[in-house]
Amino acid sequence: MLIFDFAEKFAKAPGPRTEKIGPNSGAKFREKFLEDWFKNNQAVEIDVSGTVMNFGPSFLSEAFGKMAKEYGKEKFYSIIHVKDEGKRNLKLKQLIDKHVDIALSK
Amino acid sequence: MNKKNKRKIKAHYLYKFKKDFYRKHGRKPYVLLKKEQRKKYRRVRKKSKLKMIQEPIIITLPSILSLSNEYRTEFLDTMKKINTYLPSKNYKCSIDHSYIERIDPEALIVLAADIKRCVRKNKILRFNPKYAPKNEQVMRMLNSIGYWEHFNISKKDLYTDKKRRYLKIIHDIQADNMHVVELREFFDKKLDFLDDNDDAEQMFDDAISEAIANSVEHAYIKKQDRIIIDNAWWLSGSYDTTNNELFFMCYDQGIGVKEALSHHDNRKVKKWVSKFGLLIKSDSDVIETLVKEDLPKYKDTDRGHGFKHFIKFIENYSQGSLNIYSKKGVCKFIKEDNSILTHKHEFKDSLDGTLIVWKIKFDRSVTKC
Repeated sequence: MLIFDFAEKFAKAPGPRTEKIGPNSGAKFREKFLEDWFKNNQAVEIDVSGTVMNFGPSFLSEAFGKMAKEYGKEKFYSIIHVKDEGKRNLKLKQLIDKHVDIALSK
Repeated sequence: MNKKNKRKIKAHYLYKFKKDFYRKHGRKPYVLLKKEQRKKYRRVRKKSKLKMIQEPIIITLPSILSLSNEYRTEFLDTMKKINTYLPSKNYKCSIDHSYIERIDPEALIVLAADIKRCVRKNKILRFNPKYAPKNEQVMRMLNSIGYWEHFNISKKDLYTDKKRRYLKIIHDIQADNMHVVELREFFDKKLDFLDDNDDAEQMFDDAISEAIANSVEHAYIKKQDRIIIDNAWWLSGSYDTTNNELFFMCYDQGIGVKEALSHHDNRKVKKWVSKFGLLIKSDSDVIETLVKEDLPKYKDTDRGHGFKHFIKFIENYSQGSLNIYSKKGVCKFIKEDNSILTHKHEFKDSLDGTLIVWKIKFDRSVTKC
């Protein structure tokens, strides 16, 4: 499984929804990383322990919510894993679960 | 056509041009003047240019700068004068701070933003001690909040406010969330305001980042009939360890909340707006509806909850308030003993843009040792 250090490879502070609004956006993360992982069926463990800010609802719904809606819950969780250690990782896991449920409820 | 004929045609057109120019302006074109005649002409042009710049305008700031009921009209009238004279090339303008006795931080951020947009392109601001605040406390406040630095004025001997700490004004045109981290770390250095509570930290980050994103995404439209810095927003914060209180605020000079809704291009939002009749309601009613009511969810995302995030942070604390100023309206949400009271007010005069102020008062000391 590929281990993805979010702070090192993307940004220390996750941004807003789209690049038009601000840098390090959810849309950029989805286009640059998530779409490739899903196309190549590459399982990834995301580690956000190096980030300095919590993930906002806009980033989460634009990045993870959209992927869950496109590929379905089963495929989503077969690809996306969050590291089990650390406060920020546990918090991210809860938030991803929440936004996946919201996205799939529509 | 041979070279001789070309020269003849060129000479004819040059002759015609000189003749027309002389008829119109009563003199030879500048290009054809001799050296001495050119010098004389330049001197005359300079004098006539200087005549255009009239007597310097001095805009005196009132003694109390505040957005509260009593002082709002005077403050906004002064802002109008600044907007009229400061951007103009025809006037030399000075802003007299010497009579100020008190400035509320909300008014200060609006003033700083207004001056910034007016001097964006053509003017350089200079510090004139004659017009500096005479009140020591006011001067310390302006130094602490980075008022002079905001206009790129380098000033020596910066005496800062010792009782109250201010985060220097942050200004940007993008929703860069590192500024949210900057604000949080400013408070976190000296205060235990999040109480090691992950939810409180999440709510703090969400509130500020949503406010900034709203300013960039919705506040500004393409054609506006006044000077603006597109997508601009301002952020500042302060804490007072003796009174155990902190506040932070976010301001933009956009079209205001109500008009931003009318420009929204999403069909569901338009439907919801007409369902609640928001475009005929007052500014303060619109703000209240956005904070309290459930907004429609967009087709494929869970958008539209930005305003709800603003109030979630206040709900964590026993005493706090959220004040949202937009155009003619203000809506205040005051948290006291587990309940939130709402106060709304409509003014006659309009504040440009939207200002969101969060205030928290702690019932115990939260200062870190």
